[in-house]
Amino acid sequence: MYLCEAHAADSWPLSTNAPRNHRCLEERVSAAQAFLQKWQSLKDVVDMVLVDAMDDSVTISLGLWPERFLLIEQGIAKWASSFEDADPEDMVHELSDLALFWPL
Amino acid sequence: MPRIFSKAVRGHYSPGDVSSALPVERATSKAKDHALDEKLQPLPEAPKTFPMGTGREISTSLKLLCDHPDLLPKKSDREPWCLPILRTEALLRLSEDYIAKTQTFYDSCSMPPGELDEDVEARALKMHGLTLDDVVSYRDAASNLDLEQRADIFFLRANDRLFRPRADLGGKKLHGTVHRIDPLGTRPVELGDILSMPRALVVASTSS
Repeated sequence: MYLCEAHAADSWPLSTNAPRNHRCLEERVSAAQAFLQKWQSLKDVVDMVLVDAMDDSVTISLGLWPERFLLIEQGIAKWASSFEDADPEDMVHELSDLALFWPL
Repeated sequence: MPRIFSKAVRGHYSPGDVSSALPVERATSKAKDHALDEKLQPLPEAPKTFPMGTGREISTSLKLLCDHPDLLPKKSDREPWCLPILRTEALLRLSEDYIAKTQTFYDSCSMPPGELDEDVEARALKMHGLTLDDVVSYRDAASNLDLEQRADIFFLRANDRLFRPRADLGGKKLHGTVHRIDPLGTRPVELGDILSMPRALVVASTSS
């Protein structure tokens, strides 16, 4: 699920190459597709590509920004990463442990 | 990758409350902090005017600065002491010097180190006559600003609107309308419907 940018050029720039904030859904969809083109290995394993609506309502209500990983079972969140999971390696281990009991 | 958690909002305050936290003796001190001096690099010279419409090439940072009139100094006796420093910090974060440093990491898809945040924060404090000893009270004061005041500062505004690190999702059914991208186009879908499958791993992310 692709969300609004964290460091867009016109809101919180960290690079002169940062993208601008999406001004319409079409721009957001195009940005999501460009993102997946850049990360082909991710694109190869996703079953479904989603983007949040322009009011960012799901991003805000579910606390997804700037990134969050969720394990879902029958529509119910069984596990969600927290922002304290700063080290990607820790999260990989945590996910691996979960997968032992709950293989995807 | 929001970068300012040290100033996450904590609550509201009534004008005047924060003034009691002002470290007056430090705010008015001209004492040198030599350790800080050694750490800090020379600041870029601030432009006296923006050469809009003069035909001169304008840097990206200056364009951004021109787009942020909310960061220009405001005169108010009742203004919380941390606000002018926050504006300075915001301008420093838009400077070419700072963005050149963060860009190295950003463009290689890695997170800029926290030291860059601390450095720009220290520079802002120093420019207002404060030292690193004041950083905790500065962060506390920023956290206690009301949302309207924080909205003037772009890096606080973004966090206040979007960052919800304490959203507890455990055991909850997810709801909300998002858009699904298919080869044939894009259509709105309900999260509860599309995630009703036996198992799924959702990766929610920005690209930056």
